[in-house]
Order: sequence, then C-alpha cells, then structure tokens
Amino acid sequence: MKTHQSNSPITVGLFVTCLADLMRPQVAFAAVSLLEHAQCEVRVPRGQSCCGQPALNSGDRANSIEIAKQVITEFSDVDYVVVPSGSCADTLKNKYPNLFSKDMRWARRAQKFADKTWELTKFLYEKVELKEIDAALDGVYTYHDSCTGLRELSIYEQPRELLKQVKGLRLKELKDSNVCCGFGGLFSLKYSNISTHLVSDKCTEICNSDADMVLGGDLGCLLNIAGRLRRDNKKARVFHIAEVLAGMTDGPAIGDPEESQ
Amino acid sequence: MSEISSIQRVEFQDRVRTALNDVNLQRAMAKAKSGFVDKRLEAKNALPEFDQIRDAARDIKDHVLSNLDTYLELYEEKVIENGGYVHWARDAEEACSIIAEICKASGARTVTKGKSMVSEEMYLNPALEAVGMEVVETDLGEYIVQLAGEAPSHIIAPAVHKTREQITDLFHEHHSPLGYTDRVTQREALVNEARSVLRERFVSADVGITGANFLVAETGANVIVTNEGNGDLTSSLPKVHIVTAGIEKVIPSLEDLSVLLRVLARSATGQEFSAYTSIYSGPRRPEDGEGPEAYHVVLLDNGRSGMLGSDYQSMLRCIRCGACLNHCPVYGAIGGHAYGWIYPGPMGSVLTPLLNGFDSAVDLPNACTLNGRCKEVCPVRIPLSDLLLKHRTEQHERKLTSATSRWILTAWAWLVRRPRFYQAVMSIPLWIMNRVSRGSGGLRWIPFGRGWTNTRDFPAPSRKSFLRQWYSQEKGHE
Amino acid sequence: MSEARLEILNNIRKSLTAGEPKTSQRTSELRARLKSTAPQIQPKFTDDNLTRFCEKHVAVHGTYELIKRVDIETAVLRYLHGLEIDPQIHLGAGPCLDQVVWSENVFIYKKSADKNTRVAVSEAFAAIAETGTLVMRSGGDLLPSHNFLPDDHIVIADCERIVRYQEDVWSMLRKDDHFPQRAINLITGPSKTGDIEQTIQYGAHGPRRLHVLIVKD
Repeated sequence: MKTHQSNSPITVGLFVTCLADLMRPQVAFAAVSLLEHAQCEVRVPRGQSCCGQPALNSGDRANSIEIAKQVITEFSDVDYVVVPSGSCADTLKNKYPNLFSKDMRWARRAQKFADKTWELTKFLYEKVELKEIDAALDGVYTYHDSCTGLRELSIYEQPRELLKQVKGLRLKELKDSNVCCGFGGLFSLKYSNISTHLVSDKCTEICNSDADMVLGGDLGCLLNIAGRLRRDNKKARVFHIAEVLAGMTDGPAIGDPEESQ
Repeated sequence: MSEISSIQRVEFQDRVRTALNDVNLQRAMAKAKSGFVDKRLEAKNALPEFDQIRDAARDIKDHVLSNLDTYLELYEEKVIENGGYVHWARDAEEACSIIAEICKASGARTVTKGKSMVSEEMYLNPALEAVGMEVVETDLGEYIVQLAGEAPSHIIAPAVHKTREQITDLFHEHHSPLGYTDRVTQREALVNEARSVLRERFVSADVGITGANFLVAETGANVIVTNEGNGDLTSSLPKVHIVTAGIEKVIPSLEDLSVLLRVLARSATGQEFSAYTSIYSGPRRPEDGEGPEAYHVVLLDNGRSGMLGSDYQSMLRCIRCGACLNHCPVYGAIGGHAYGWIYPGPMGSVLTPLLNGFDSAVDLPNACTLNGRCKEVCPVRIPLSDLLLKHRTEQHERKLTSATSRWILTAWAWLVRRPRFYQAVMSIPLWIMNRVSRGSGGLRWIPFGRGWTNTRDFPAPSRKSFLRQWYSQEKGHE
Repeated sequence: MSEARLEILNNIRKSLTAGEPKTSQRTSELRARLKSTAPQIQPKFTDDNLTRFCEKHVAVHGTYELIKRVDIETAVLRYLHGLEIDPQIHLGAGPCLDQVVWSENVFIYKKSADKNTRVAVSEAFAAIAETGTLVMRSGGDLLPSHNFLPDDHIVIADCERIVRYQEDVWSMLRKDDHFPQRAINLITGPSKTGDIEQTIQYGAHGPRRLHVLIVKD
C-alpha cells in the first residue's frame, strides 16, 4: 500500500452495482475478498442500488442528479469507493461532477467523491498493488475490453497483469477485443437487432480465438455475451475477472446451468 | 412521443431491419470492415507526433470558429482579388438557386461534379436537373450510386455498400447503350470502363462543381483532396468552376493547411497523403494557358451559424474524414442509408438533428451504445459520443421521447432512490426468475425483454441479491 | 453586399459575441496571423531529403530514376520504349526541361492535354521529402491538364528542389510573382481508387503510372 500506514487500514466502500447485486452476487463477494486480501477494510453501505446510468444515458438529468446525490452521501465516510465495473465507475467518477455545473457546493462534493472512486482492477493493480493472490485456474482465456473502462478509464493492461498471477491461466488475445459487444444498457432492448448483430460478431471472434473462457470487467457486457453464447450452444465459459482473481470459479459460469460445475 | 416521432421510429426501425437483412449490404460491409481501421492504426503508429498534430488541428479549427465572421470576410476579400465571386446562401434552397442561375447564365447544359457532401446536403443534383442540366458525378463511388439512383452511404466511400457484382450489373445496364457491350466483372476492367466513359464527360462539361476540403483565407483558395484526380479534372477543364462549401470550412493560412492535411488522409484511409491535394485560386489568369474562365464559391450556412456558441460548436470542427463511421460498430452493422439522411454514422447522428431540427431524427442519438470509439479516433477531437448524450438530454428536456419511457424512468428512479424498498421489491422478480430457470442458468423468455430473449438467453439471476445475503450473513454491518 | 451575406455574418456574430461587432484591432490581429508563416508541428525524420523522397514515392506506387541533366531525353525515351509507347509527348516547361533540345524522332505537343493524351512530360516546381510529393503549379506553359489526363506522367524533379516539408514549398511559392498561382497541385503517386470493394486500383481518372526523373549532377 502506497499512501497509508499499516496501522490504520484504508477503508473501502464497495459500490456493488445493481447487476452484480441482482444477477451475480459472486462478483461482489469476489471483490470483497480481493480487497480484504489487499488489507483494506471493506464496507458495503446499505443505502445503495444503482449508479443511475439508465437515467443518465436516457438524458434524464433531473433524476440522475438525485441519484448521484444519494450515492455521494452514502459513501461519504470511506477513504475509497471501488466499483467492479468500468461503466459504473466512469459514471461515478466522470459523469457525476458534470451534473452539478449549476451547484457549486455539490460540484465540490461530487469532485471529491470522484477523486476517491476507482474501478476494481485499476484499484487492485495501481493503488494497492495486489500481490500473492491465491488463485489457480487451468485454461486459456480471452479478454473483452469493455468500452467505457477502456476509453474513459484507460483500463487495458491492469486486468491482464493481474491475471498473470493466476496459476495455470494463459491469455489468447481476442481479435477486435476493443470493439463494442452491443450491450449499451437500454440499447440492447431498444435496438435489439443491431445489438444482436454486434454480439454475434463478438461471439464469432470468441469462438475463433479457441479460448476456453472469456473474461471481462463489466457484467453488462458479460451477460450479453454469455446470453448469446448459450443460445448458440457455444462452449466458452464466461466469468467476471474478480471471480477468477478470487478463485471463485468452481461454480457455474455466467449463464451456465447449476449442474455443470 | 409526438405522432411524428413515432412514425420516425417505425421508419428508422424498418430501415435498420432492411439493412440487417440485406445480403449484399452485409457482404460489402463485412469486406470493408477492418480495412479502414487497420490502415488508420498503421498510419497513426508510424507517426509519433500524431496526437500532438491532432491537438494542433483542433486548436486551429477552434481558433477559426471563434473568429469565423472575420475569417470569412478575409477569405472573401482574397477570392475577389483573385477574380472570383463569392455567394452566400442561408439555406439549401438558396444555394441551389444560386448555382442553377450561374449554370443558366453561362449557357451550360452539362455539369460534372467532384465529390461534395455539402451538395448532397443541398439536394443540388435534382435542383440542377429541374432546370435542364445533365449532372454527372465523377468520383467513382459517387458515379456508382448515381447510376443506382441512390445517395452515398459513406462520406468518403460513397459506394461502400455495393458489391462488385452489383457494380457489374449497373455498369452493364448503363454503359451498354454507349457501346460497352461486354459485361466486365473484374475490378480493373470496371475501373477502366468508368475511366473511359467519364473521360468523355470531363472534356465536354460546361460547368464543374466541386466541394472544398478547406478554404484558405490567406490566398482565397479552395483545397480539394482526392485519390482519383476527378476533382482536378472537374475544377480545371470546364469553363466555369463552382465551389460549394459550408461556412465552417475556412482556415487561416497554408501552414494551418499543412497541419490539417497531416491528419486528414491518415484518419480517412490510413494514407500518409492522398494522391492529389490541389489548391485552386480563382479563374485563369492572363498568363495562364488553360483553366476556367469563371470561378464561383457558394458558402452555405444551413444552420451552422446557430451551432456556434452552443454546446455543439465543436461539431463544426469536423473535416469529414469518415473515421468515426469506419470505427462505429453500429454503422458497420447497418451501413449509411439506414440513418435516413446524407450524413451517417456518429458525425451524422450529431449533425442531422442540428441541421434538420431536434425533432427530425430522434432515433439517431439513441441508436448508439456510447462505446466512444468515434471520439477516440476523431482527428480534431470532437467528443462525438458526449455530444450524442447531450442530444439525449436535449430530447428528454424537449419531451421528444415517449411518455411511456419517461414514466418508466421516473418510477424506476423513485425506486432507486429508496434503496431498502428497492432491495425488497427487486427480490420478488429475482426469486421468480431464479425459480423459473430451475437451475438451467438462463431464461429463454422474460417479460418486456423479448428484444433480448429473441436472440439471447437471459442469464438467470441469483436467488438472493448480494446486499440481502451480505446483510443476513453479517448483521454487524447494519 | 447581399442580404444573405449580412444575415449570415450577423448570425455568426450573435452566436459568438452576443452581437458585438469585431473591433478593428481584432481584425488586424487576424490579418497579422495570416502573415505569420512559421510552421507548426512537423513530423521528425532523419533520412536526407533525396532518400526520403524516393522511399515515399515508391511506397505510393511511383517509379523513379536518378539521372544527369544532359540525359533527360535519353531517360524519357528509354522509359517510353520500355512501355512500347511512341515518343509523342505533351511537354511542359521548367529550368531543366527548357534546356533539352529534343531530337527529331520525338513528337512534341505544346498544348493542353486532351482525352486521348498518352504521355506528358513536366517539370516539378518542387518536391516534398516528407510524403514523396511532387508540387506542380500553373502559369504560362505550365498546364494542369498534363497532370491529370495522360496515361503516363513523367516528371522531372531537380534534386536541389526536393525540400523537407510542405511548409518549405509554401515559402517558395510565396516568393513567386504570381502567388497565389491559380492551381497548385500536390501529386503523390499515380491516380487510384478504392471505390470498388475498398481495394486499390490504379489509373482511376488520372495517370496510371507516375515516373520521376530526378536530376542530380
């Protein structure tokens, strides 16, 4: 740990994200486990739900502002806020401050909040320099770089570097790994045929890579990819990177039936 | 949602469906897909200063835009000094009538055109045909779409949506009456046939109309960048040369031009430099052995002056390189025509509502995943995806979105802001979906989610949410 | 001045400065900027101008030959012979080219090119090492149609006039009495198109081949 003395552990508030909360709790448990392994004191504020992206991306500023205020308040007494999703982290970090252009007091609070907010892999790799993780998984993985994390938060080498610590895991790069999977939140429902076209292209490349599993840092994309792979009976398993780093891969992968363990 | 926007929505969805099911389009787009992207990346990697030059290019455009009135006046002064004429058009209709008048006054019958998106914007071809002109597009791609009776589907590769087989059919149909009776199918033969046919047109045209990649205030020149040389033949051979350009095209000096040229071709096609970059100032001089006798510039506003000073001003930096189209996954899937107007892809989705009215294309800013690849590659750093999001805010504030979706958003936001209640409410569908999936891992149908489940399984949610598990395990956290 | 002009300029001013007119001081500042011709950021490269020019010219499908000033005619004839083309040429002008005394078996046209023109021989005003570009200008015997209509374009480039960057050419052009010349054509390789299947095909409308004779004594 770079900035804190060892006698006072840093406190990290986990922003669970609504998708991890409802769809894949294991991602949040994995995040907690990794943060604790890095000697952080993890808190999970109860008054959290969603970061507000559906409102924000639908142009609904008024509701976005109210949601932002609530999130900022709820996480006011932790040293850091860590988010297991690039797009939610970007919302907290880069979008919230812009919501308060007409309210200086809240603008300052939002900026302070933004400054302490981190995406999970970036936090683990750059901030707490996570080492000696105890995870092993035999196989070849490929990595999907989710758009917002990649372009707004420069997340590219962090997940790959962290995954090097997992014993038995080998990387096979995905062609067009930086091309959108077609999720885009409500886009996947409103323009489902375009979304399907994009996720089909993504899954074709995943199959062409011959990897055993595809990993990523954003559940939205992973649900989309897993949903399409399952529909086409493709074998590649889908995990969130936190699950792999925390060694939580014994259970079913995303979208897989329970008996396939 | 207004009646107009619901009709629009149906029309947009129809065009999207048609595009996705169009076998030829999908074949052509798949073929074009990675070429532009790979070549641009290669060109960028070969130039360590690329990003610095992009910054300089952005700064030049910003400087011009914040002094646009003066630069236009300085530019005009020089054009007149060179012996040319400058015409100002508030809108498309005015521009068309100015150009039609010039053509009529010079006794013209045939007009050749170099590729010009701004002339597409003003629907110039039908306007000229209406006054009896024969109009021939000379950029090979534009020529192909003209034969097909279509609009360009890409701002620099107009016929990117056409397969070679389709081009073969078009040439055979249109060139047979001219004596080209052999059906040619190979690329080289197709290009040669078009070269031969268009050559006759170049040398016999009365008026040549081109666009302008840039207008240089220092010299009163228009700059035109092509690989084929069609722009030059159009500019040089007829006795009248007309340049059409948006008012935002002016730049200060030739040194500024150099900066912009260094990013233009690299971003567009991945070339370091296009084959022909030509700088034309006015009509032929007394000492010239050839060249047009008259030189006209038609400057088009058509909504641009209103974009200045607004949140969307940066869109006027656009140099029409097409990089945002080439990198847009949605454009790659549906092609240019589905967008419904002449400017497709991210730049079009930003520009169309600004030029045609916010209520004119409600779908465009929404039919985007906000993946940000367009913003990443823009040579003049237009924050395209941010501007698309701004459009969505604008639509929401102007109540251009559907009442149902607004109501759902409000109800959802109400719930999100009451986290404990939200957690309790969400536990119900969660439990149901988990039960219904019966350990299979995925659902093949969910209520209101047919768009998803028609083509994808919906991964089954957890039996119990993380927060509820966490707080039942660790009461200490309460 | 037209009503449209006034309205557009007023709209611009309204958008930019809430309707305030530009001060004459601002206008003269901008005029001064037009006159300041210092280059902005330029790509660095280490090769000498000749090497770089040749490398870039070949990269865009051009061909070249290094020759002595006295060998221009021989080189032109050799090139045409290699392509089995009759020595009938549309001839341009320039310091090197004007010194050539063409022998009788070369048929010379001193006029604009037309749709049937097979070959033009021109002399470049300058060449740019950065991008392998030839710079042609109009005026007098310099006819832009020679650059765009023939199947084969042979261009004489004096090695002394290969400059490093575009910006160096702008300085040279500004010193010319006729600046701004009606036409300044920067030519980088033969004519090409990618409009059919995004695959490059040479000889779209302009020259199919571009051959440069670099004169170096």
